[in-house]
Amino acid sequence: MKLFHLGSGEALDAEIKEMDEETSAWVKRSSEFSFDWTTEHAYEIYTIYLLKDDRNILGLMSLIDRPDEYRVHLNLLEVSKSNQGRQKSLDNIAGCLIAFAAEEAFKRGYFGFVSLEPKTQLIEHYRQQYGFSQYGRYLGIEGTASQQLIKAYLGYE
Amino acid sequence: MSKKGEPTYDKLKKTLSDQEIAQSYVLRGTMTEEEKQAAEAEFKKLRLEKLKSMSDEQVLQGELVRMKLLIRDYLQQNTFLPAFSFASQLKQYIDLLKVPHGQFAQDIAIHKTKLSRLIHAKEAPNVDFMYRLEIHSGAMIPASFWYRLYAKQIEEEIKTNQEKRALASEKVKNELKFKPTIEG
Repeated sequence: MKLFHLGSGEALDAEIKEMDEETSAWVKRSSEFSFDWTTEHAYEIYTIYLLKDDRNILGLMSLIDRPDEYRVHLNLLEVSKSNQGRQKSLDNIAGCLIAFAAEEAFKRGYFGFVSLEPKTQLIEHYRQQYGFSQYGRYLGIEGTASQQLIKAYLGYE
Repeated sequence: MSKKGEPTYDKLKKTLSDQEIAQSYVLRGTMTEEEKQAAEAEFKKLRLEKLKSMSDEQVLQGELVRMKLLIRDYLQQNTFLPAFSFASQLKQYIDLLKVPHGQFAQDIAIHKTKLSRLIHAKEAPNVDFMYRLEIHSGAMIPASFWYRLYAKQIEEEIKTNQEKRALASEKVKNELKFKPTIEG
C-alpha cells in the first residue's frame, strides 16, 4: 500500500501490522496520539507505518471481531497529529487502515462488512470519503463497496 | 505516563473541519448502555436481513475475494501448507462454484478425467490451464497466483524428497567435493 507525501507527491510504501508491546509503550509516551490506547487492549489494535521508518507510527486502529453478526467493528481510529488537517505531510492514512479492516472482514468470511459508530456530523463524510452506508445508528460498508475501498487505498482488488 | 484529555468531537472541531476529522479519526461510541442496546438490536436486525437477501452471485463474489486474499497472504509466507497446494485450492474453487465437476470440466474445456487427476494431484497443471482458471474466475484469481501456488508446492517437494535425491545421487559421477566450511 502507498501513502502520499503531500510536499513531493511521492508515493511511499507503507505496511500495517498488529501492535506489539514495544509499540504500545511507544504510543503511550508519544505526543502524536491523544487517546489512551491501553483501553483498547481487549481488542485487535493495528498500526500503520512507512516501510523505510517502521519506528514512526502514523496511525492506529482497533477492531472488534463480531462473528455472530458477520462483521468487524471499527471501534477507534486515530491518525498521528503531524498528519492531521491542513499541515499534514502524509495522505491516505485513515483510508488505508479502513481498507485494511475491510480486507480482514473478507478474510474472516464476513463479505467485507465493517461497521462503525459515527458522530452525526461526520456521517456524510464517511459516506463520501469511504463509501459507508447507514445501518440504523451505525454505518457499514461491505461487498463491492469494500472491494472498491481496498482497490482505492491498498492498490489491489 | 497516561493520556489526559482525550479528544472529543467538540474539542477537535476547534482546529479541524468535519472532513479533516473524518480523515483522521473514528471516535469511540458515546451512547449510553440503554441507547447502545437499542442501536445494537436495530443494527443486528438490519445486518441479518441483508445477509439473508444476498444473491448467490454476491455470496460467490465475497467468497472468491476471501479466497484470493488468503492465497495472497499465503504466497507472502515462507512456509508450505498442504491446504494451499494447487490441488487443494482447485478443489476449493470448484466447491465454491457449487457446480458438478463434469460441468466445470466442460466450462473450461478439459476432459473430466484430467480434471479429476488435477484435483487429486495426480497430474501437473500447465500454464494454459492456469489461464483458463483466471478467465473462468472473471480475473478474480489471476493465473500468476495459480502458478505460484504450484511453484511453492514444487519447491517443497524439491526440498523434502529424499528418495528422489538419493536416486539422482546414484546417477551423478565426478561430483565436486569441497572442504567443509564453517557454515557446513
